[in-house]
Amino acid sequence: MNRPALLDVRHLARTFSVAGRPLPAVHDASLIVHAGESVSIVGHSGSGKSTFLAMAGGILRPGAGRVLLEGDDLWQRGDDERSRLRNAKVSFVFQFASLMPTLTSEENVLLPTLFGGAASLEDAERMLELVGLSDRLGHYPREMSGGEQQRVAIARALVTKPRVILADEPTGDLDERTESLIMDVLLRYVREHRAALIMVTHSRELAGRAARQCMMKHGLLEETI
Amino acid sequence: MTVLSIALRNLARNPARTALLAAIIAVTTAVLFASFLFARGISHALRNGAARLGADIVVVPEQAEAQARSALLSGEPTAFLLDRNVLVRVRAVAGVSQATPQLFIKPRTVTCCGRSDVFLIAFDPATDMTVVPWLDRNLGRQLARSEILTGSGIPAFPGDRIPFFGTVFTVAAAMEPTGMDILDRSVFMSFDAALRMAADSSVLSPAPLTLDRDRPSAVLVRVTPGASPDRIAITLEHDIPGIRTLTAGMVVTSVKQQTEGVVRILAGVGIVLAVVLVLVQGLAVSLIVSERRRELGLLRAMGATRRQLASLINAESLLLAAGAGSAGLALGFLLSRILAGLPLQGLRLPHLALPASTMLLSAAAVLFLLLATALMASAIPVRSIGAADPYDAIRSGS
Repeated sequence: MNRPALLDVRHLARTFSVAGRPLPAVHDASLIVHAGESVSIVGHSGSGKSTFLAMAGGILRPGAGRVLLEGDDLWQRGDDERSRLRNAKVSFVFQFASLMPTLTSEENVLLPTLFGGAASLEDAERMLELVGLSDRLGHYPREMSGGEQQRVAIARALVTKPRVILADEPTGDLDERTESLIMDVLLRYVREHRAALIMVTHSRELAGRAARQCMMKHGLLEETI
Repeated sequence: MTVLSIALRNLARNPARTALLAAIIAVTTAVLFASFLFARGISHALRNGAARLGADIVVVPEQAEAQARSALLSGEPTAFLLDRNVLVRVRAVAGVSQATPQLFIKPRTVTCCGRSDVFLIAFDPATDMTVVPWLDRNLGRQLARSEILTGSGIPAFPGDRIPFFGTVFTVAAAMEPTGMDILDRSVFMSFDAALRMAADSSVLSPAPLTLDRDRPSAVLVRVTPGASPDRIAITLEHDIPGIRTLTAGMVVTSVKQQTEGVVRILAGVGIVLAVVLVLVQGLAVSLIVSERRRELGLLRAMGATRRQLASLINAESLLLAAGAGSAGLALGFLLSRILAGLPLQGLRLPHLALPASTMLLSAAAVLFLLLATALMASAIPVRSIGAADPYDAIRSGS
């Protein structure tokens, strides 16, 4: 019997316009991810990895194709409904510092709950403890290193208990120890919550920690393992 | 953590810019509010003054029409006399419900309070419709023969003793401001008091005064309910030779014409300032949106709907408008007091401070307008960020 897909991405395509000329970024990319799975996507710069991730997460409208999240067609929904689905089921982790500079670590972690869902102060503290920042609850981003800020971003991504985590170079500029810690936290979450992780990375080593590995080349997605 | 607390912290991110924007909004609001209060003060004075005069028509000598107009409009002290029997003939005209004489006396020297422009008005307590109702309401009795009632512009207090033509009078009460100089800059006394003062002046004053009970300066007329003051005025002029009539409506219209230019300038200033407010607030929101494009895109990626995003941005804009606007209203109130107090003397415009309730209502209306313009001004930038794909906002802001 076939297992139901957590995220079913079919024939996604997107073309950008650069200086008035069409520039295809993603061609006909499909991917099916089940609960408890982790998938890494590697590829050269400009190969369309991030564009694919953004379309799969409902933050960039595809030119063609569809995205089914637990059976809901994300791009057939209205913007409000899609926002609510993102809030309830999808979390993003970006490479750059994505914290709000005016909020403390704890407040940054709880930020998604401003738009829906529920998480308590204790949940935020537990998440920060999970990423090793229990002593930084009241600290502002400017008082933390890049690695610490990224760990707060991971805690924020997990606090709403998402079904899918989409990570775009989550450890890009970090040292090996922090990189390893972040991967441990993400993979453990996926395992324990029967969630899914799709991670874009340049690092072959990091990609190797995911259960499935894909390569994006000239806008085409191929599963390598 | 609430939308408001986030908005407050965001405003504190760039204190210098927030302070500058707040100062522009506050000063603009202040000038707008002060202009509004000033213009309303003028029309309030017109309405109030006309009502306080209590008469629909003022009958004056034909040759003194210009002087009478000047006295009514700007409180210019003057003295002129009607022919005998005018009062009796006025009362006989159909449609006249009430008619009362007034005698205008212009002191020949500086006699009161260091002022040379004090206007003495004698009234008949038996038939008066201007002073008597006020005395009934506020003093609870009529004036004694040695007492006077002063307008608000006369620097005297109840109990003060002031000599006119050698007779010393006691101030029984001072009227509240009406905004009409004829009432604010005058001293009122009864006919009997005025006649006794005139009689004694031959002994007590170096400049004796002669008065005749049967020759008042003006007759104030109230028409029967439903009758047209203009129509009765025409009849009076037709039936009684040697008189001219001034209607309350004409007085108000004349003052309105006099003040129209100033009010127009104020309205123009108000419109320009309202446009400036919209532009400044629009600029503030555009800066917020363009500077924090990536942050706003991230919030959308976290699940913020367009409406929620708009709430966050609007909260900043509204907080700025409410805070700076409130300060501007307080400043505008002070400015309107200064305006009403200083240059008006020279302009000779009627002006009266509005009642507190009207002032509060006006402040609320201006604040509402300010908040509405803040929302209007933020509509375009908010719509633009809401319409963008979150990923595009994140990328273009990085």
